[in-house]
Amino acid sequence: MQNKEEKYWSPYLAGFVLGLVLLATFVVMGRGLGASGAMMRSVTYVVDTVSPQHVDNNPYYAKYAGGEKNPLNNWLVFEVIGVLLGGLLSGLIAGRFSLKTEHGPRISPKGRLAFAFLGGGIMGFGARLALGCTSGQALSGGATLATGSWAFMMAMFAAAYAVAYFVRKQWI
Amino acid sequence: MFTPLFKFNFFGVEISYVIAAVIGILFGYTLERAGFGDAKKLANQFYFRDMTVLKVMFTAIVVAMAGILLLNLVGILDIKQIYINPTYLWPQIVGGIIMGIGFVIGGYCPGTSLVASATGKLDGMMYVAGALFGMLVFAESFPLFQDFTKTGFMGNAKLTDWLGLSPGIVAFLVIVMALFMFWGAEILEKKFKVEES
Amino acid sequence: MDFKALFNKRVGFFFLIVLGIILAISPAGSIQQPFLSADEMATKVTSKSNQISAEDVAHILIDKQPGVTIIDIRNKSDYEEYHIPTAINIPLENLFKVGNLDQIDPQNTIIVYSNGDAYAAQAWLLMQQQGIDSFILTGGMNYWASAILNPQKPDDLVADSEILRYQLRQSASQYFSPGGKIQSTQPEETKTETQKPITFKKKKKADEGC
Repeated sequence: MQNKEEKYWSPYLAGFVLGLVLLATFVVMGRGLGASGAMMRSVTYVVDTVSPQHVDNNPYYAKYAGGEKNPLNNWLVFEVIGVLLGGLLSGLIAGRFSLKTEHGPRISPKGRLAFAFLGGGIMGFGARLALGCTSGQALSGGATLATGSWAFMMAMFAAAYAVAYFVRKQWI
Repeated sequence: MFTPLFKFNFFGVEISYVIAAVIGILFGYTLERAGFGDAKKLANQFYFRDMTVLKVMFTAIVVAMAGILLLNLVGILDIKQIYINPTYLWPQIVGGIIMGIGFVIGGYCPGTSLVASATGKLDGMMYVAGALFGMLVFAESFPLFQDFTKTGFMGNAKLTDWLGLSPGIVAFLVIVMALFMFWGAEILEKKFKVEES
Repeated sequence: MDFKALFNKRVGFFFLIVLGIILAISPAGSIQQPFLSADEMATKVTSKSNQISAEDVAHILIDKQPGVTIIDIRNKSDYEEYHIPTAINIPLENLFKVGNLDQIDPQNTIIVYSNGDAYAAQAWLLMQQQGIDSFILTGGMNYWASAILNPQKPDDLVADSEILRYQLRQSASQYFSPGGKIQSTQPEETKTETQKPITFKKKKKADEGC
């Protein structure tokens, strides 16, 4: 590990590389990137282990794990394992790997963790309602010009800007 | 036309999982390099201090969109074989609003929270735990709003159908829009920039 | 390539504008193969990627997924005796008569079934020749009746996966036939295909989202 953190890439360079990765995914697999789908599958896997009957009776779980289906036997799950590895790799090379809590100057680390859990919960719920997250809807759907994905993207940014003022103490 | 390779049976499901991991590594690596493992950098987007999220996202969308169309133009990529997110307009808009609120409170979106967790950020891990819990709540309460999740269905609708324009012209409009947003983002960043203490 | 030069803002701006104009005046995005080649069809048939399992169809119905049209290509009396809920009846001989297939939204996923597999497979082939994509219900009505409507309890010694699959069919069965159970329809066509254990489709359209 280096002592000094490497700089982040220019946003345009990072966007260009991300665009090429996304394009490669379409050309090789015929589908886009994702993240929240794999999380949902992990949740389903746990519930399925505890009570397979419950999974079969709930139409939402049944889609992922009805009958003999293994919810983790899916492309997105392997992609997300890669995301974790890739993030770790980049963090290690750039000297950015460290156990810490990112928080604004006016909030305690504990408060920040509580907000992170709350925000994650809201987002997890919303991601399933919207059939995808920033990667699956905004990025992948945006690039394929899917109508619903663009509506999703606009709604997400509008809501975030509208609420930002009320939680500013957390960040600035 | 011989791509998408997977749809033309160049390899099977097992190989596709290996490819998934490789693509995932590249995806995670790029997100980390863009600075998306840091909640403060992501959240600053919503206070106009650091417009990285917008710049990265729209550059990526433009590059992938233009790439798909160019590869189709030269006869390599069969667009019909590409997965288009189906449109369920109302759940997507409401879900988008809920996610926007969650984004600014939690500081991450699902993909970036994974990268943050991988680089040791404790808030990233809490966020992932929260997201998993939120999804559990969604699935358990799904029967309550099952009907709502099917509203506004428009099939695999694309902006081209909605606007009645050719894909190329829509792409041109998206590029012009992105350039305007980049220009606006640069101005906003200069205006709201605060010196790091 | 020198990335710094590429991301010099003026160069990038100019490059994107030119790219946009090229795309705008080109037919990019509209170039497509109207029909599958014979080789591609053969690949689809052998890899069974043109099939959809009864369990998956049951789930589509329970979940009330829109954008799916199920076509029963058996004759009218068979259809009236029993048909999969929401299915429309277009007997095979009328499939390509004007006003039948063209009333279906071309965006919809089309699933065809007959009593067994043979007629449905032929309908699939004919539809491909007309440039219409569709899926065959694996095992047809016969399999549907035995698996979804009257699931047989597996022996105690079979694998867990078999029991799990039975439980799914049981819950689906309660959904589709709350009253009496319907007996399997009369045998028609070959039933060899239906004996094989069904495989869950891995390339299902609706399952690729984020």
